Amino acid sequence: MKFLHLADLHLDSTFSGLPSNLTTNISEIKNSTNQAFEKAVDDAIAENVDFVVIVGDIFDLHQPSPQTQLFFAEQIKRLVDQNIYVTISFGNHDYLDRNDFFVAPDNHLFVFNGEPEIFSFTTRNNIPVDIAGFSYQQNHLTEDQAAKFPVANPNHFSVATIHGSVKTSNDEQNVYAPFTITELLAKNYQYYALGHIHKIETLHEEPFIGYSGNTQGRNINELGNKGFYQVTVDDQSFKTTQKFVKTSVINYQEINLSLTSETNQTDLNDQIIQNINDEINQKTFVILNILGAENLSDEQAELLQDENLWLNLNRQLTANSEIVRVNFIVDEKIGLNPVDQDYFDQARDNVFTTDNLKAPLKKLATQYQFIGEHLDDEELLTSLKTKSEFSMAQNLLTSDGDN
Amino acid sequence: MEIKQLAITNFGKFNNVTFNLNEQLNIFFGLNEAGKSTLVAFMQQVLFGFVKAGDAKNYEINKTIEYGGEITFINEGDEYIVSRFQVPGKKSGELIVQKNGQTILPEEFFALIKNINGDFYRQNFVFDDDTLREIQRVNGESLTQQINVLGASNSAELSQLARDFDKESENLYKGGATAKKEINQDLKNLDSLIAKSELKKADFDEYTKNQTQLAELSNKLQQDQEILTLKREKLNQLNQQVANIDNFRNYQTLQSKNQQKIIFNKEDFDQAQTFKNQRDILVQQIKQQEENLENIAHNPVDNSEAINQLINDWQKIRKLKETSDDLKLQSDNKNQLAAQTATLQPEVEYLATLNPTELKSMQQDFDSLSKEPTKTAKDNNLGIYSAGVAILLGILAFVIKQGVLGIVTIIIGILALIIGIIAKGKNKQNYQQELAAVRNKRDQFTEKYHFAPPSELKSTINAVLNFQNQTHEIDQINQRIASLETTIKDYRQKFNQLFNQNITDQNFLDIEKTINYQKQQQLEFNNQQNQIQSIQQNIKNEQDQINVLNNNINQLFAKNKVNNWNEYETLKQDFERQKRDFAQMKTLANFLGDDLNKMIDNQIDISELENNAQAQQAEYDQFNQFVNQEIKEQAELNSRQKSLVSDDEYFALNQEIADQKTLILDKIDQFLVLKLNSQWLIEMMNLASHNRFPKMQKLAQEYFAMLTNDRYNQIDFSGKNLAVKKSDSTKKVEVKHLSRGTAEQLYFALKLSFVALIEDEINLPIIIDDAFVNFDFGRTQNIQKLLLRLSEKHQVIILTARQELHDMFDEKEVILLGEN
Repeated sequence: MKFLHLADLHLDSTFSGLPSNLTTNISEIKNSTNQAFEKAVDDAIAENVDFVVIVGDIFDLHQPSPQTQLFFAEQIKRLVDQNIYVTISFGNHDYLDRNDFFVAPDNHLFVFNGEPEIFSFTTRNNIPVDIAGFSYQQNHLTEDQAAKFPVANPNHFSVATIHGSVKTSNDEQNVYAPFTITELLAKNYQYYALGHIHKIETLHEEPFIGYSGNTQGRNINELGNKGFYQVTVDDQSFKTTQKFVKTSVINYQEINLSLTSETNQTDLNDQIIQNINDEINQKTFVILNILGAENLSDEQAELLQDENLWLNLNRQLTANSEIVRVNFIVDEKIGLNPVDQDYFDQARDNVFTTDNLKAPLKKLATQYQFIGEHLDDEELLTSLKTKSEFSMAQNLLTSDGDN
Repeated sequence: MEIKQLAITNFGKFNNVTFNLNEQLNIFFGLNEAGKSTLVAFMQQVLFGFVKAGDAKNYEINKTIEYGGEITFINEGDEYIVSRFQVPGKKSGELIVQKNGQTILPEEFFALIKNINGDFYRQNFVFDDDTLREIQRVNGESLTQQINVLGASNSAELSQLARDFDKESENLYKGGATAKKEINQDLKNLDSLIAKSELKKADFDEYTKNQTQLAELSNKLQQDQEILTLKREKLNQLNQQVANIDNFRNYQTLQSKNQQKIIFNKEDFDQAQTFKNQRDILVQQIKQQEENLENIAHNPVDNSEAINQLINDWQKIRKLKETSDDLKLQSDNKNQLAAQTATLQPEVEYLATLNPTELKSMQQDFDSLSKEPTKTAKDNNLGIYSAGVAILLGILAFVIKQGVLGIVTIIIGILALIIGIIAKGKNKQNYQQELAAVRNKRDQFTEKYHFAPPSELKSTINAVLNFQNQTHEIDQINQRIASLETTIKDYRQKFNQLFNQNITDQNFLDIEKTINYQKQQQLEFNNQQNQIQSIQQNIKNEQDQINVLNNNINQLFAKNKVNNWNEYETLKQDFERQKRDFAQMKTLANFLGDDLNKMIDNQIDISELENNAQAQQAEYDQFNQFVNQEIKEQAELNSRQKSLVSDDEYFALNQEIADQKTLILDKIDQFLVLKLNSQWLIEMMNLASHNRFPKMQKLAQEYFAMLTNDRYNQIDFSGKNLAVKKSDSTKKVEVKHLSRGTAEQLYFALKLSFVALIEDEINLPIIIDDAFVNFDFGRTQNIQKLLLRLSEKHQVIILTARQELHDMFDEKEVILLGEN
């Protein structure tokens, strides 16, 4: 028996982290999430799988565009027409009203509707299958849904589908159907197909509890190949083996370039192109990390922040890839001076705090949710420190001589 | 650490110049342009590196030749010679450090001064016009701030940097937002994009609304269509009933038409039909044969007695004709012979006209003529013999069946015999008598008979007789010809008359053709006649058969009570029609079902039914129109939905929003980096100052008092911000309330005390340039006092153009510039 574990399609999603002078056609971006899903459907049909579970966040918006809905309905029809069972749950992004859902009802299709339910069917090889799941009805779901799952029937192959994240100590964060591994294991399912986290992640090996990640990266935090799990189930033992299948048509990818000494602009450009082309083999939005950025001259640093220079570099990249961001990372510790170095270091620790960075933007954060979310991002402080280091280095290391 | 010596090679104004310095205080005195700034630059650049080309402070160094120099330091008894030379074309002048004559790594030397860079040195140890500008260019508030962080190194520069960061951040965003700031502007753009997207989203709301409406409409339509179906069914039922009225009427008509059941025996009919067919075939055959007969009879042949006579006579007539022709030929020949005779013996012709008596008389006449007797005897005998011969010939002719010729010959023979005998006797009598009278008589004779008497007449007479015979024969032949020709002519005339031809004697034989043809015709005619007989026999036979068949048919007619075929056919047709009628009636009855009986019993009101059907039709039409309207509405809505479904524009707008957010977040990061960097620096300086100020207090107060001529003698570091106290008051004055001059004095007091404080870590000469000295410190002796005080702990190098300052110090402390 085979099935697909698929989550976070985020159809209709825009991409973020892109420069204003992006060359890639917007339709390529628009189609990417669709294409990724279509690939998964193609795979399901080609592999003649028994069923497909789609664990939430099918659509990026809870009011998906009709066009996208129609597209999705069409793809689901392709699956059910092949007698492939499909279960769908809605996540925190696409908490749809079932009435607004275009997909036509079908014997092979089950849409989880709110509270946890079980969908049971028998595979072509006469194996009884139970799929448990639930759907979001608003963008947050603070209740532990998995706790409400019935204990699995050991004679059936059972899959628990959960769009959510592991319970944390911070209640503010426990808004996505929080669960614990222990509690999941107690339910005795053979496979726990998780959604919501866009990065591939295994929380438990046997039985498998994990995220298959999203199918198409849409921002600089969703790096590398994206796809789904093709799961093979042993018909006797119900032992599962999952294989990752890539679906992403455009990848976001970080490419590092380490500079250990000063270099001229031509060599620098050549190194950048070579480093990128060595690492990519498909259309990629490249996040270029210049390590040892202190070795850049002011002019070079300025040039590298000039998006027009990227256009020139992009022309030489594989598969119409584009540089979308350049990060400067300073390798050396920023030295102020021997006299005040300690104060400098301590001052940095004093200043670079979450509260401190949020303070001047409190108003904007409340006014604009995306800013608030950005400021809440745990990674932000680190990233700001990195940027600050480079900025500080640029300003402090400009001595009028060399020794 | 003190500078013991400066050895300058080609640096600005100085080439191969060496200055030896005092351990504590050194005053370089020179007018402007004497090389004071060059000297300051030399010290900094040899120690920390030559400035790059294009730098503002480029002290007119001739870079085409080697330049640089050596600085000799004394540190805790060790001598360090720090040298740096720039060789043209090479990247940068390398620093070479020797410790007590041994070359060491520069790092070892720099470790002694905590690896500070030139910048640090310049900012903290060099007091020159730059330092002056640092103070003068900032406003009071900034100066206050700057004073507050004077416990940190590089505080002026770092304060400036912090301010720059902050200022830059404020270009991006400032709380209490004004629209001028970049992020505010970007957010405004975002808002308008979102507003635009919301408008677009309104389309989607419309879509959703439409979808609901469409669902409702579709529901309603389904219901209405069901109702319509019911109405149609009802209408159909009524229409069926109305139609049934016609059906019923039909039924009735058929029923009345077929009350009597028609009896018809199909076998009989078929039998009769067979007979009829056979008969018809026979009739046809007879007709054909009669036609044939007619054709035959149309070729009649004249078979009259007259014609038959002609035909029968033909062979005879033809023979007659031949005979006639032969005779004509004979006649002609004989005439020809006669004509010849007449020509040759004209007397014969004449004599022939004489009758026998005359001829006898002539004979006699002749005989009467004298003649020699010898001659006569012989002639007499000959005649007799000739006659005998003739008789013999005639007998012969009889024998060979030439009757006529025989007779004639015999006659001729006899005659000739007679004549012969007579003539013989006469001649003998007259011979002598006549001889004398012959002449006379001869003449007479010639006269009388137109010819001279021959020697002998017999031949002449014979000739005449012959001639006469011939003429007679010719006459006889001609008579015979005439007789034949009459017969022939009769025949010919009859022929021409009967056959309507114009046969003449000349083409007489052409008759045969006609005769033959006629004979042929007659033969054919006879054949035809035979044929006709045969046919007629057939016809008779067939007629007999027909009679039999007719008889049969008539029997069947009788049996089936019809008089003729027409009636029989009609009967058959009627029977079949009735059969059909019955079938139709059965169908109608089936169709009508129970209604049939109701209708028969008059239980159904037909006119009411028709009215109902009409009303139902109207109702149906109206509702159908209504449903059609709904269908149209649905189609319109669907089409509108289709136009709404294309979301490329909406997506593009959302992507634009995403991009705008990316831009804003990038700027927010940038803002935060700047803001935090500024805070970082300030925090660092605050930490340092907070830590150092208490240690600096004593010295700082002393310097401050010196500089303020003892007006202020206390600095209070206890608060968050610095405060000072006047000597004659216990009242704290916050720095921001100090006059600009006092604030600047405080600034330098603190800055100098900072150098003193870090002396343990970094002990380098303090360089005080004229610019700084020009600063208003108040009384000159206060300055002298301050510099002396400073030089107790540091080597102090003063560069000045001020005579009074020069005058103030001991000669040994003064180095004159511009005089070597």
